[in-house]
Amino acid sequence: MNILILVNTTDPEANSTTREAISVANKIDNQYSIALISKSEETLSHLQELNDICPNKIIATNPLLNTQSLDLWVESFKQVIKETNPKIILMVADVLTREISARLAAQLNIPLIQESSEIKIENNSLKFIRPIFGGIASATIQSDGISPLIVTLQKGAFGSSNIQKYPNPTTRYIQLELKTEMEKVKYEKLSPTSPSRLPMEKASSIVCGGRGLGGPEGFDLLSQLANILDNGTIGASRAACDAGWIDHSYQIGLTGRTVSPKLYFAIGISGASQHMSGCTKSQTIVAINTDPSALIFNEADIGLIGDWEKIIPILIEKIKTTK
Amino acid sequence: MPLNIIVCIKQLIDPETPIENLTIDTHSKDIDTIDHKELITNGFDLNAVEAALYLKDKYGAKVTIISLGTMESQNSLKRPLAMGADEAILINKPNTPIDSATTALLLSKTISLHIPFDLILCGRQASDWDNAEIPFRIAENLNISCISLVSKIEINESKLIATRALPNGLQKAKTNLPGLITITNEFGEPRYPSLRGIMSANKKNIKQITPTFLGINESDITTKTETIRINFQTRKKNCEFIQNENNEYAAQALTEKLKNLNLI
Repeated sequence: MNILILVNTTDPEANSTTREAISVANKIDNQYSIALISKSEETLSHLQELNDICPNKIIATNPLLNTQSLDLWVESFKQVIKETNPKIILMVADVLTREISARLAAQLNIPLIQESSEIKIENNSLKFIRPIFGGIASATIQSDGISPLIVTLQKGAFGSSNIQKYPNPTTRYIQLELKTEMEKVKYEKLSPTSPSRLPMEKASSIVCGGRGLGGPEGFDLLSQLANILDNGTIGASRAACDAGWIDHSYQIGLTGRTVSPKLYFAIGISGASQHMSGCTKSQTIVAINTDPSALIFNEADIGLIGDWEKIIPILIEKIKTTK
Repeated sequence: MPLNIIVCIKQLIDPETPIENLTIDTHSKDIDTIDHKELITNGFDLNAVEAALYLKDKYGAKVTIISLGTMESQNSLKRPLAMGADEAILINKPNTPIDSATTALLLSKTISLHIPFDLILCGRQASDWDNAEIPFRIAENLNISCISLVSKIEINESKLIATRALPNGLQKAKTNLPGLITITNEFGEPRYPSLRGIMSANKKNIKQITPTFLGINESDITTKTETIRINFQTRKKNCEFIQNENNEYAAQALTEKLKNLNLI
């Protein structure tokens, strides 16, 4: 077996993210498997969409498997890898898989390439391209041929156009050997943050504020603007969140959320690449900043040099009368 | 007994450096600044220093800073010392390019010199390559428990109680010490060094350690992954500026522009 796709079965979007990994696998080699781990096969019914789009499926279970526990995830995947002996291991990058992949690489002493956004085959060897420095540059990386090689794939970078139907997929069952003492860290259930708010990923317009707001009050004005825009909400740069002006759940950027609205207002935002990597996919970026040399004007489609505090109240009135 | 806390920090190029001032270093296959500007400490690592000092204030602790870097990195080790850390160790970075596995091995071996330690703190990731790999490798190398993306910590009878700041909410996690945790910016802003802190930091010696001392010969270093090239992404857009001689006119022009683009 050549490629093993390890699935984060707890990801609500596991069907679509796994399609993306399958699409990548199809490009490299048609001999691949997807591995699903869980307490029992019944708890995997939400992933049935994947049944006929991959040649081989591995279901690894143990009733002791608590999917909150990263220690048990690492142990389970390690056992699947040892049983199946793949050359390449693919995972779609998220908070869970980024940790699991690094721990697997350390435990198995194997190479790891994180957040690959493009894969090329040059001279019969695979080259993995990944963004670095917040996306202002990219690195092309190869491994020295030690197998297996673990690669995490940047979510959304590959698409899922390369999918085939496999009418007679095989299924292999693996009984995981787990013990409770393997669970070194005990995790409690997640307590979700303000679920009532419009999720930023679904907003059509986002008004984002940065260090230039100078304090928490600025977000009131930004909210007023967001409220009159089409399906609008507010966001913030890391600097504004770290200053305590607004909750971190509003943070957009490399370590916050990645958004792609129709209209993105960057207010008092310097435009560091770490912030921009969370919003470059926006259709139109409007920047308002007092500093004409701010990096944000290299990234924006429309720029306005000026004081946001004076411009936004007038802008709100103008938009209201235009509507 | 006071806690024995180790904080691992990395020096890197200021992430706010404009792209025009960056260049590609073909030897190390990494990004450099044109004017070789002094590196700064990774922001998340300063959050980790803050977390260590929070624990020191609350429970009493000896805080040791460890970094892998060149002689020039010495300066940036002064800042955590001035903030209140007790000592700093600089592992001399080998001249040959090294991968994450070797970096983690050098750090793990240095940490092993400090047994018994209670807690290792690291920033959640470094803002240059964003691999978020080293902390997990250290925890695995030392075979200790690890909790990532921590925004709050308490210690109760050698049990560590951490709150993780995840994209969709908060999660509590508990483990026995010793352990490793990665700190996220939600922990809170790092404190400013006091004048007294700065003065005492200047008097402190930064201990130097060579890879050879740790039992790693430079000639034996191998890499499992190799960066073959770095390219800058060209994503500079042509920003259309709206003239702003008067705010009323500028707001009107922007509104019309957005209307024409069907965005409002």
